[in-house]
Amino acid sequence: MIISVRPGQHDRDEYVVCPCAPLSVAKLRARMLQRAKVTEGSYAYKLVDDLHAAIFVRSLDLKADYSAYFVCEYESFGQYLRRRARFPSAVVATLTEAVDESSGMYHFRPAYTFLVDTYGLEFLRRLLEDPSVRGA
Amino acid sequence: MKIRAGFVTNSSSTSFLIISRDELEEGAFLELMGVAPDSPIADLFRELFSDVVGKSQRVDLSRVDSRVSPETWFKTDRLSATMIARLRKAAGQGLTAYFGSLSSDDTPVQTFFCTDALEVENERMYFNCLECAW
Repeated sequence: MIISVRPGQHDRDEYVVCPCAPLSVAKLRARMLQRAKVTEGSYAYKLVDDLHAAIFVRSLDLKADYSAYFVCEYESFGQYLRRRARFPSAVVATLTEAVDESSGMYHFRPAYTFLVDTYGLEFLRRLLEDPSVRGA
Repeated sequence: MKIRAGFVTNSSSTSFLIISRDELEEGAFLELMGVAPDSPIADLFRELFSDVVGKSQRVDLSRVDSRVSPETWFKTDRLSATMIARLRKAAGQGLTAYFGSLSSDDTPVQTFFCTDALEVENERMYFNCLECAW
């Protein structure tokens, strides 16, 4: 599952990427490159590889962050999302509902200018989600 | 006093040069960039290709006057030494060249490629998008 979050009216889109299968970062990378159908060593390959690292290596995993550091400070994951991440109520509701089925919840703040609006969300869904398994 | 909550940035642009054996063709461009036509991200490169085609001057290098600078062929003073050398070599081989610029003011896709740097080449095509053209 991937959802978009826009912190403020003038802010850029952010995303929360939630893989459901408990895959390692290396397997997520291999799956992403395979799904993208890019030639190894090419410009497109590097672009997808960088995108993978931006999401799954450099982004904060909210679920792991809460479990490791904030479980004592906030009484629930929802409170953590609301008060620390300052997500809107609708986003908090969606993420708390999905937390048990997700292996991680990566808060991705893209520097890629083409990842905006509906196109950005669709782009990430096409690249990351398995069309045969909703929420993959 | 007013405080802007978003980010402020200057616009930018980048020059590009394509040298090709054939007419510019989308399939060849996707192959050059390393993405399959049925890739879920192919549309990103299709839009780049469309922008490149729409914003470039085409010159048949087999018909240029090789005694003058390649900048004359494109009526520009923006060619770097690398581009000029590449064009002179291509002119000797009778290839076709396309020169133009992308602007961050136009589309999010162009903005991205304006802030990236790439130089890719295969047997059919050479694409240089390294030169800045403020």
